[in-house]
Amino acid sequence: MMGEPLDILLVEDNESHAELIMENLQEHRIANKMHLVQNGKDALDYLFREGAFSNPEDSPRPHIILLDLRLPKVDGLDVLKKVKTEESLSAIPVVILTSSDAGKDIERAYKLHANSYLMKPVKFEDFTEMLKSLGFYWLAWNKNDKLHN
Amino acid sequence: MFILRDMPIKRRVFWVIMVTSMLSVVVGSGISMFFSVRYRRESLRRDLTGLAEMISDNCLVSLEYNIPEDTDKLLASLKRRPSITYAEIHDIRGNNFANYHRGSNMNLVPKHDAEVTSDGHITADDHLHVWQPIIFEGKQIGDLHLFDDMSDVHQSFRRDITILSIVIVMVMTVAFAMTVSLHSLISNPIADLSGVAKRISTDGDYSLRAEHRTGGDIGLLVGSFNNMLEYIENANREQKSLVHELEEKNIELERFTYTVSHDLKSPLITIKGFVGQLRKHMQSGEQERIDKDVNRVEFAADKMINLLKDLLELSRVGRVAGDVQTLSFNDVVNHTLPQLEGVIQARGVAMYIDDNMPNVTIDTMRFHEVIQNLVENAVKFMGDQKKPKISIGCRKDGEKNVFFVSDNGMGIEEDYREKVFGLFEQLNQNIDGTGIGLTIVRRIVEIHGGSIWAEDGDDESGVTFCFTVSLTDDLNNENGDDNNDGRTT
Repeated sequence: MMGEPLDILLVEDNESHAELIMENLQEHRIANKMHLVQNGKDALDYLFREGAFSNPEDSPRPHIILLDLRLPKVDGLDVLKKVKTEESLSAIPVVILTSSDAGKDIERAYKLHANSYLMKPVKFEDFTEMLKSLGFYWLAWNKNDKLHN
Repeated sequence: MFILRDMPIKRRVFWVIMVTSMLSVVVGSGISMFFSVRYRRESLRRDLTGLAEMISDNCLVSLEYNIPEDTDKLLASLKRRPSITYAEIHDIRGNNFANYHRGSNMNLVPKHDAEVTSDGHITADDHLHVWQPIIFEGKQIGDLHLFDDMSDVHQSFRRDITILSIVIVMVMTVAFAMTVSLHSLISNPIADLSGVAKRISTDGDYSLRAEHRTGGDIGLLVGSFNNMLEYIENANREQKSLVHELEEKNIELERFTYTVSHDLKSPLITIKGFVGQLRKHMQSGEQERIDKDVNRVEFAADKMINLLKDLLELSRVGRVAGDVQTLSFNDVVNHTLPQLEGVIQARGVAMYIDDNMPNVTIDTMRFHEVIQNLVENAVKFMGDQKKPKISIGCRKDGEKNVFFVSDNGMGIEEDYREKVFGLFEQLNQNIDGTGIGLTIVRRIVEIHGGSIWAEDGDDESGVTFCFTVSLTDDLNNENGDDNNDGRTT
């Protein structure tokens, strides 16, 4: 299952959720390199290599972005919009990973070209199962564009 | 009558007036002419009868002694009355004794009619025929016939007709002038009214009004119509504003449910997630991880408790100010600070309080919450400031009093200064809190008719929260409660 190490950008403001996601992904040895940012502003700084992330070595191009919607400072949908309208970033698959199942959010996310929309299940077993599938689908089976840093 | 029913009021008034005046003139003049013709004919008959009596008296001798020349002369004098066309005298045997006719044309001799009375009679060719017996010493010795063509009567009839026509033309002119002036009195206001009504029914614009020009019934009608319009317009406006308000509340409610469901679910995911982890770690017996999992669960459960508590508080704040009272804002601050003494001292924050703040009319309990939240926030986000300080005061901005709570802590970047007031908005998830406090503060300020916003802090760092209260009294309203020395720590 393992190829070369994959970079994942996890945008999640809730520390506990971030820990759960990372642990579950690592458990299935899917995520080799997790990069965690806790708000929308940092996510944009990472992707656009600004502020604390101005050094490209600190901000390798992720193979996939896991994006929460309700984020401090800059909202998840705004991050999504900026990523998808930026030529150099728009090819990166963005998976929305949020606790909201509001139809409005789902619709808006897909309109802004989200690649997938996942709702965090409350049930633990479902949560782990979903992350496992997510890992396999996006990081193993799915063919990603080889991005240049 | 039925034709009138579907006409516009202008034409109705016109036709009613014209037809009425025409009818009254024609009927009135017709009756008067009928009697006047009768009277003229009657007087003509009387005249002719008198004339016949006079002639018959004067021809007694010539008839008795058979001297027709005298009688001819007598009859010739009839030419002074041109309307008499023919006269003849018969002797007792009925023979023509003498006659007279106007001009020389014998064709003018009218036909005798069968039955002649002394009252006179109209002949077939429209002559008045008067017959007079000639009586001498109680014995009839002849008779006299006079024929009049009634040209006088006809002439005066024609003159009457001419006068009548002139009168009709004049009356019609006057009637027409009256309808025009009546238009402005009766039909124009009603036509205006129906025009306005029509425009309203097609455009639905209830701000239109009919022009109010006359008094009386029509004035009353126009007035009532306008009142009705005003009533409808007001009701419409009220309805619109209610609908708008309702829509806004709906949107707000929707947003509220959305955020609440999202943010309440979040700790549940954490709890379930770490309970699952805990079960795994208990099997593998990793004590350190077990402790960590338990802490996560506990933290999430506490967060949930706080969320519910704050949400309840937010719903309690409601939409209107409760019992308001007017007091110095210093009283409000001085009443709140002792409850915060603990956190203030723990962080070693210096408090600077303006001791001469103006009076405000507020729900005091609610403003304790405002001060409490703002000061707690200031302390919480002090960062690593060596000389932490918080100042509370009031400045004059034009006519308005702007109260402020200012600190020199971490501050808030300009882009996020509006966002922090949103429900569950937290700029930093790692600092304990629910993200409801500033939402509550804003709600309280707004139900007092004021507004709240964030500005730069006191020094180069920090943030200042400013708010207005529209019920504030003037700043020049001095308060005597100055026992505050301006600084507490």
